[in-house]
Amino acid sequence: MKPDCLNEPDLILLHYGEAPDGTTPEAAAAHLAACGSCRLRSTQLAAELARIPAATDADPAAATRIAARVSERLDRRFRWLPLAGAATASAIALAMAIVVFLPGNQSPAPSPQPLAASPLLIASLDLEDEMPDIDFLEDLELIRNLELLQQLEGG
Amino acid sequence: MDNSQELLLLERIRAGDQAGFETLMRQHAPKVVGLATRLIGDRSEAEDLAQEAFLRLHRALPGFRGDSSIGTWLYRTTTRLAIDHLRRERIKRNLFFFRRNEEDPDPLDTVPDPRSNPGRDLHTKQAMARLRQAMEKLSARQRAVFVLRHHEGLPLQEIATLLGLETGTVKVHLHRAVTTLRAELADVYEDVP
Repeated sequence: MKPDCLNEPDLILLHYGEAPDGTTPEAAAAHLAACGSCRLRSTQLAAELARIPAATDADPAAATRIAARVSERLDRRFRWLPLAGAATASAIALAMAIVVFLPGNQSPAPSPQPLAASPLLIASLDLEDEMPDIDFLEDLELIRNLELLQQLEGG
Repeated sequence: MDNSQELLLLERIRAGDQAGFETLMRQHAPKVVGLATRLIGDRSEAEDLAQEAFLRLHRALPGFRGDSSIGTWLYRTTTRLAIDHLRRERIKRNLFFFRRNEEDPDPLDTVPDPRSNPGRDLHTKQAMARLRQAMEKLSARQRAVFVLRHHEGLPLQEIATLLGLETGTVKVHLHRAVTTLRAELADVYEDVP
């Protein structure tokens, strides 16, 4: 192989009709015509690549099958779309109602009259008042469980 | 179908004509499935991949500006889906066999292919099995570049655009793919007179 011979990447590019990196296509073609060694390498490369089998063509029925499957998926999606929309709207409405009626989000009431009128708010305020007791009960439950574990270990 | 006909069809689909989308699918599906099969080497998985490409096309249609043709869009999406699929498969395989090093031989290469059918066209089947094994040695991108250039006949510049790579990088991938395949299939070449 002479110093000006084509390298492997350029031979591959030439085989696929692409411009080689190391030289112009015209210079490469002129070199191939004159150099027996490069011509042999090029012919060998072409023969080997030609023997690479192509994957068999797709099943002719595949197009129909895929079109049917995609259409079915799209139909299903469109069928559920109105229901999904209604469900989302309901969820948003519920979330807004909760946010609006949460005691923490209420603006300070000018008088206790309007607060007392809402049973939901009364329940919320009562629950808040009971919170320390609930914590206390949870602590008691933990102590009971601890005692039970100690008894089991001791027994 | 030329560009103007395709644009008319797109308008129909955007207006809610589901039959128009079926026409589009039937027109492009053979090429898309063929490409996917060549890229991932399995017909059934290729059909799943084509299905996903068409579902994505349907989602993308409202914003489709027509900068590229539907065919080009599908080629790009299918190739990218195939590259993702090949990468996921490789990771799964490595995890399954606890292969610590990417350079270690793939244990699946030593397992006989259950899909082979010895009774029918043995030579083609063997050649295809060898090609499948050889293709497994390529990275997902090398494989995509080789299939798009060798089998699909796309110019390297177009492949670079499809894959979002520099042309120089595509050339390197092609060179590595061809070198690997020639080495892997050397004994096949020797057997053929």
